[in-house]
Formats: sequence, structure tokens, C-alpha cells
Amino acid sequence: MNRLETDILVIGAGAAGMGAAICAANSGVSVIVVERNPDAGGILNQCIHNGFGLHYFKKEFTGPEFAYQLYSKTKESGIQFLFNHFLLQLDLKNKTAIFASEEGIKLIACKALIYTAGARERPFGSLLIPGDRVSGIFTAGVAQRLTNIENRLPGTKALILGSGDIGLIMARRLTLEGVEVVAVCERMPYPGGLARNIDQCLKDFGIPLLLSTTVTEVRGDGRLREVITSSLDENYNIIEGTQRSWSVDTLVLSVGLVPSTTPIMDYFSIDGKSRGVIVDNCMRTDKDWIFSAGNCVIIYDLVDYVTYQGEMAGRSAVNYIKNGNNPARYPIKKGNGVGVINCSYYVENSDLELYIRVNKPKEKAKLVVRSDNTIIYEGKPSAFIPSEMVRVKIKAEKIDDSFKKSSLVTEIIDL
Amino acid sequence: MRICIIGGGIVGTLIARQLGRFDIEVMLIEKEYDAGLGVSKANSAIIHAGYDDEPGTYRARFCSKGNMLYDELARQLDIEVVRVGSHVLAFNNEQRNVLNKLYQQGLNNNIRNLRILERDEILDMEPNINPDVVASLYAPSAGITEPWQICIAATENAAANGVEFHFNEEVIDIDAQGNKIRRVITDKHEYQVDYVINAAGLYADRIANMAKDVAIPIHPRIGEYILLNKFTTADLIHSIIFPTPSKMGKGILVIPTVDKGILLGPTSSDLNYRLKDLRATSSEGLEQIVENAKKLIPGIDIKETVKTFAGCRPETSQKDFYLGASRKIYGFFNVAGMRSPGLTAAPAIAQWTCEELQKTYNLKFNLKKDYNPYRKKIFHYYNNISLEDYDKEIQRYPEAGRFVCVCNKITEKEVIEAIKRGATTLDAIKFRTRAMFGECQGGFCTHKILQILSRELGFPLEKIVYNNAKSYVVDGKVRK
Amino acid sequence: MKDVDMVCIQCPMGCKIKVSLDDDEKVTEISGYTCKSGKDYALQEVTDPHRVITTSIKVIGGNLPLVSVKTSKPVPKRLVLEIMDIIKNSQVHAPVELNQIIISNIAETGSDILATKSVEKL
Repeated sequence: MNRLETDILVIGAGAAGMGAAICAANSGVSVIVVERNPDAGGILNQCIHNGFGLHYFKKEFTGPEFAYQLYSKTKESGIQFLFNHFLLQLDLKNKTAIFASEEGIKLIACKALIYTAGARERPFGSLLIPGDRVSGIFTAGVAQRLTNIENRLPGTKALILGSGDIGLIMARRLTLEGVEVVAVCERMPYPGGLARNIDQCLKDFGIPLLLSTTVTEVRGDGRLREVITSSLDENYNIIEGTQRSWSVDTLVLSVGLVPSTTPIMDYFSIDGKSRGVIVDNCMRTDKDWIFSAGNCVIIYDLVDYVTYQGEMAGRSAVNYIKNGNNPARYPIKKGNGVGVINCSYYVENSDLELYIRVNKPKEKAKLVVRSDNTIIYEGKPSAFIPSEMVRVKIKAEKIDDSFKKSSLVTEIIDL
Repeated sequence: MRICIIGGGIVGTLIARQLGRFDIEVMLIEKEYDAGLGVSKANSAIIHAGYDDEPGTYRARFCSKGNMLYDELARQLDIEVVRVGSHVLAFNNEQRNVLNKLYQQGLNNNIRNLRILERDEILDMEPNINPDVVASLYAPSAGITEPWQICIAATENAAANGVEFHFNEEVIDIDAQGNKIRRVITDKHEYQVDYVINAAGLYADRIANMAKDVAIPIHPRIGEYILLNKFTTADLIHSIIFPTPSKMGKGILVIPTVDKGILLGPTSSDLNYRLKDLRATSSEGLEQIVENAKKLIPGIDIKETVKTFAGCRPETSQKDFYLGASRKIYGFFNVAGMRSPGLTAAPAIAQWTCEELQKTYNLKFNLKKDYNPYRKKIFHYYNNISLEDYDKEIQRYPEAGRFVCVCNKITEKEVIEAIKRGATTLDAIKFRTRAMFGECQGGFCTHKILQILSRELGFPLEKIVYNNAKSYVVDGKVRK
Repeated sequence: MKDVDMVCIQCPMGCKIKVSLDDDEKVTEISGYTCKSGKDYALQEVTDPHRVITTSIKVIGGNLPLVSVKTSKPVPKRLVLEIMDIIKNSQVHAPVELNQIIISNIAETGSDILATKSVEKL
């Protein structure tokens, strides 16, 4: 068995993990990044489409290019990577993580741990859609992996359920490869992905987007043969008589991502509902030496944000190693209109970087952040949709002390 | 002399294993790619205590006996049987009376460890049970298992002892000229046989017709199920929770699984006999499950669903097993109508079939000298081996350190072992290793498993199927 | 007379731009843009929309069967299918380097097809 030691151990070499590693290594600490896949980049490697890095690099990259940019930076910083290594368990007492690979068992002791393991897709079974047990039903990520890496088409005629970005991207990808995409269905009354993707993936190809529509039955004999969709009313109940039959051999699902936290749920706290790691705005978990960032905390819409948050975790981990501090933290509350927020606690005297999703579309509203009752940030009036995150940066000096009485509150005020 | 078993479900494979102890020629023909893909695959996976069966029925006779045989079976076949116990819940006095009747019936069936518990004791044992419960019938000998594991294990063990298995082969006719079994004809071959054991599950009536035996009145009864995520529901219940039974049957249950998940179901709908192949779930069925399961365990969160599925049971008009040597066709032996508690009864039925065959046909089977009742399952590394031993194992077998299934932590070595043991489909890998069985339901590992199957079997990816010939996974190359 | 609504893709702001056209398809009004880049994009969209294509090309002798590629600059949308046909019938030998030009000046558009990842030789 091999024993290694490092200052910082990063689990997961995706955008968040690499962001954390680069930041940490630049402060002179030793960093080991462990990854279960054969390469760095995580899900970026199969996202061969454009649109990554407009914020972070001020340039537009495809997924693999973005991953390469980050990976090159890690190589410049002397970060050690261990690929094809799988996390078996954590030994919290000895601050050691235990991995298996084809080389054997490795115990890696560290001073600080950064968990950046990303997310998984919600499976078909969880939707409780009745029907026959058939092949031909894929989550979008699997369809994407097959098409872009394994060189295999999932089928010849497809219906896509879910208008999140992954579903929209796959609508375009499959169409360009000769698969007939008959429609994209979305159970909500508004689309789930970025507006630019609706334009470039659906409108460009004449693929209908059917809002307030969901799949209500799948039929087939061995392989999928038919999908039935129905319209939904404002309470998401099926409207009788709106069934439509589609002859397809493929159903692609883009119905949500879930933070991948089951491997660590017994070691540090995760949110029972969202399954995301509970962190403060410095990306620290409920263990003072463990940090977490990226899609395993909340689901982000831009990889740029994931990278920034990874960097935050890296900085905090270095800070902990060098200064050993454990400052007080105070709750951050989700007020009216706020659906998802990237952190649950505010660390006093720190700069605050928030990523927020509204819980439903707003035609005109403003984002307000309060320290107890004192407003510390007021955004411009604007339209908001759940699929596009809002990023807010508030300097420590601007944050009034009142939160110590109760909490920081984020809310969306209708105008 | 040659015995031919038709049907590779729990009954057929256990009979094959039982007969495999003897110095006789035994073969088993199964139309699916693998054992246990019929009734045996989609059911409640419960080993019943035996109070539910009327004394005098085959069910009563074989259920309690079968229950007792499971510990030894588990030991020999290296399968999991967990005695979790069960509660039948009563929410009012009328239901309490039913519990008392079941208790009495249990005594009549020689089950002596049943107890009637009162509310406080019940909630002590299972705090998440609906607090409106007034009493329960507690059966400590009830257990859970994985029926497809038993079928696979029994098949491996029987084959190791010389039984010939034919999968992906369907019996299309039986030659019973002169009212005596002579040949079995399949879509691939013809076989001269002397005895046919009809263990064909939902299709036992079809087989009986082929042999020109008396018609067996089987119709399918479909049951739908919902499986909840094991990582998030693990501590909800520890034992099997039944409602008070009704005329329709045992009702919709809340069942812990061997894999530490929670299974809800089944519904119970009689279908026309022509719908035997139906494995479809329905919105009404799924709603019914949620509604009734929550009456027993209000804390169930349906958002934790990872999978829904349906299975059919072979129901007969007399609601009992249909067993025994045919009085019309010499050599034709029926083991049919194996509805609940078929799984529980199966080991006892296998033993009885062996004895009954010899009795009826005046045969004397001699034990094989080198018969080996033991079979070892595919070793699952995660959490089952010390780190030092695991390290040594990986030095020998690097594939034991390469992980394929992230959620259930399955290594490449386990997948390869499953292929060595006969798995050629995604379902076969799934049921032998538990890969693709976890919370992501194959999201992370399907492409890896496709590649491993392709590599080990020499098939192109397009040829790999989910579970039957029509269920291809990928369609063709993106770039040819 | 018609109005065309679009979302600008030049930067993350995603401004919603509206272009009004008269019956001769001439632009009469543009609104909603916040920079020159956005205005140019909107004009291009209504006259001759361009798109970046991201797809894959077959690799011979590599450790991966495909290399992901993109057009070096946006190409006319009306030529997308023709370009896809050329790409589907093309191949490249490993090793492939990131940013390697696999096809030059595809369909006379002035855009090249570049590799967006590297593929090693088997």
C-alpha cells in the first residue's frame, strides 16, 4: 500500500477541482488532485459545443478546450494528478483519504481536503413515467457521451424531455448527425435552458419546443417504439384529452442534475433536500479542514462560475493551512423568490460572492441582499429566469454588522 | 433416461439443482437469455412466514417448509437471505380480528413464533410506522432475498454438477404420442426426453397444451412496484410492513431490500390471459402504490424513487399451486401456478418434486459421488476486504482496482467475472453485479459496461442488448 | 413589415435585440443592443446568419475514434448541411494536436475546421 502526504488533496479534476488546485498551488502549498476518470476535465470532455469561458477567459471555448486551458495551468504549477483513482473512504480522524486504482491502495494524508466531485443526472426511473420496460431511453449525458466519445448514435428518431441546456445541446447535436429530433418537451411553462440555446439549438432547426408538456407513457417491445406526451395545467396536472403519440425509437431526458454527494454524506453535512454539500461563502463545509465547490454544492449554469468557486475553495483551504483560523459564520437565508443559493453561511469580514437562481420567472424585479434589515446590495431592475444564475459580489466593507443579530437575507423584490 | 425442465425461474432452477445431485441426465430449457427473467425477476422478494396460507393447501404445506430451508440454501449458494421480520398492521378492531385469525392460522401451520404486538411496542421497533396503528402480527421468521440471485446461483451450481442449460431457446412443441412423453421440440433443436417438468411460469398452460395434458387455468396478475433510493431511505423501516390482507391478496407493502433500498408495492390486477408478456406500469397503479404505502409509512418521500417496474404472477382459479404428475400424459410433471408464496415455497417444492418423481414413476435416483452443493458468488470488493488484502488482490488482478459503477462501487473484475459466468446483456451484468442498480441507474457506467462487454465477447457495440433480442442499445456509428 | 427578436451571443450579457424589417427585407430599426458587437451581430443575423459548428471528425489510428472540432469562425447558416456532409466524409490520422487545422477553408467560407482536443496515436 502506498502512503502519500500533501498539503491539499482535491477530489475531482473537473473545472472546480482544477480551479481550486491552481489557486492553492499558486500560494506555494503542495497539491494532489485525484480523479476517477483517465483524464482531467470531468464532464467538459464530452461537451464539445461552444459557450464556455466567456467570463473566465473572455473568450468562447468548447468544453474540451476550456478543460485544456485549465489543465495547462495546473501543469505549470506542479500539481500532481492521480487518474483512474477511486475514493473508497475517508478517515476523518487522521485526515486521510483512501483510494483504489489498478496500482493498488493509496492512503493520502492531507492538511486540507477539497471535494469537487460534480453532479449526476436524474434517472428515468425517478420520473415515475408508466409504460413498458424498454431500451432506447437515455439521460442526455449518456446520449452525449455515446455520440461524442464512443462514436455511437443512440437511435434514429428522438424526442427530448426537458429543455435544460443539456437537452437543447443534444437536440442540435443529434440533428446535425442525422437523428430526427421530433420535439423538445418541457413540463414547466417556461424553458429551462439559456435563451441563446433555444435560438441556436431549436429555432435554427425548426424543432418545436412544447412547454407545459411532459411524457406520460413509453411504449415498445424490447426497444422503445412510441412516446405519449400530454399537456399540463398550471398545477402540473395532466389535462385530459391532450395526449399526443410520437413514433420514436429514442427518448432523451434532460430532467435535472443532482449533486454527487452520496460517497461523502456520512463524513460532512449535505442538504437533505438538494443533496448538495452545505458550505459557507468561503466554500468551507462543517469540518474546518474540508472544503467543497462546484456542482456538488449546487448546480451551476456556467462553468466559469464553477471555476471561480473552485478558486474560492482553494484560497480558503490555503488560508486554513497557513492561519488555522475558524472564523464565526452566520446563516444566509433564502428570502422571497430565491430558489437556489451557493452558500448557507456568511463568514464575518469576508467578501461575499453569491450565485442565485430565482424560483420562478420574474418580468421585472430586483435582487436585494440585506444584513438583518440593512440593505447591503440592491440590484438593477431586470427580468429573471430560473435557468440563468445571478452573480453578485459584495465587498466585506459594504457588509453591515447587523447580520450578527440574525442573518443575511437574499430576496427578489417584485417591481 | 433424461429429464427436461422447461423454465429457468426460481422453481425450475432449484429443481435443476436438486436433480443435479443425482446420477441422471438433466437438462433445462429457458426462452430468455438468462435465468430468472420471468416471474422470478419482478416480485416482492419476500420469504413469507407462512401464516397467510390456508391449512390443507399446497401453499401452506410448502411455504413454512421452504422458509426453513432458506438459511441452508443461502449458505450453500452464497446468496443473501436476511431475516428482517414482518408486521401485519391493524388500524382498527375489525382489522385486529383479522390479525388474530392469521395468528391462529399460523399456529395451525406450525409457525410458533408469531406474536401480536400492541401500538407502543410496534412503534418502538419501527418508529416510522403510521402512529394510528393499533396492533400488529409480528413474524420474526419472515425474510428478504434477491430472487434473481437465487436463480443465477442455482443455475451455476446445477451446471457445475452436470445439468445442461439451454438459454435463449424456446420450446415450441412436445411429442407425447401415445400419451407418453417422447420428445421436446424447440426453435433450435429436438431432444429425446423421458420426463418433462413444466416449470414454465406464466406460460405453463401453453406447455401443458403442447403436451396435450389437461388445461391449466393460468391467467397473469400484474403487480407494479416503486423502488426508492437506498442512500436516502435506508433507516425508514427495518422489517417488512404489510397492511391487513384483503380478498385481493396481501396488499401494497413497504419492503426493505437486501440492497438496503425500499420497495413499495405490488398492485394487483388480473389480466386477460393474452397479456402475459405485459410488464408495463400504469399511472393508476403507481398512484395506488404511493397512496397505500403512505398509509403504512407516512414518511415515504416519493421523490426518492429511482425506478418503477412491473411483474406478472401466474394466478390459477383455485389460488393454489398446481403440482404433480399428470394423470393423462405419462412423464409430464407440473410445477405451475407458482403465485405467492411461490418464492418461499420453491426450495421445498424442489425437494418434493425430486421425491415425487421417484415415487410416481418408480425410479431410484442415486447420489452423485462428486456432487458439490456449494457455489460462491462474484466477490464484491468494496467494504468486504481489508485494505491490506485488497492491495494484494489488486497486485494480482489490476482490474480489481478499476472501478466501473460509481454508485454501487463495482470493479471491472466483477463485471468480467459476470461475463465469464455467462452474462452477455446489460441486464445480466446488472443482476449479477449490481452495476447500474444504484441511484444514477447506469448514468455513469453504461458506456463503460458496453465497452467491456464488447471487448470481452468480441461483439460490436451495436449487438449488445438490454435484455432481449429486440432491445439493442446503440444504433450505429456517428462516423463510419 | 416584421420584427425579428433574438438573443445576442457575443458575450454573457445576452442582450435581447429586436430588428425591424420593411417589406423589402431592409432594416428599419434595431434596439436592445448595448455595444457595437451586438449591433453587428444583429445585422448579420437578419441578413445572412452565421453559426459556429461544433462536431466530430473520424480519427484513424488514434486512442479515441473521434476528435471534436469546430469552425475557426462562424460560417453561413445556409451552408451548415453542406459543411456537415464534407465533415462526415472526412477523416484525420492520429496524432492530432489541439488547434490543428484538419480542413482548410471549408466550402470556400474562409473558415477552417480545427481540432478542439488532442488525440494520441494508438
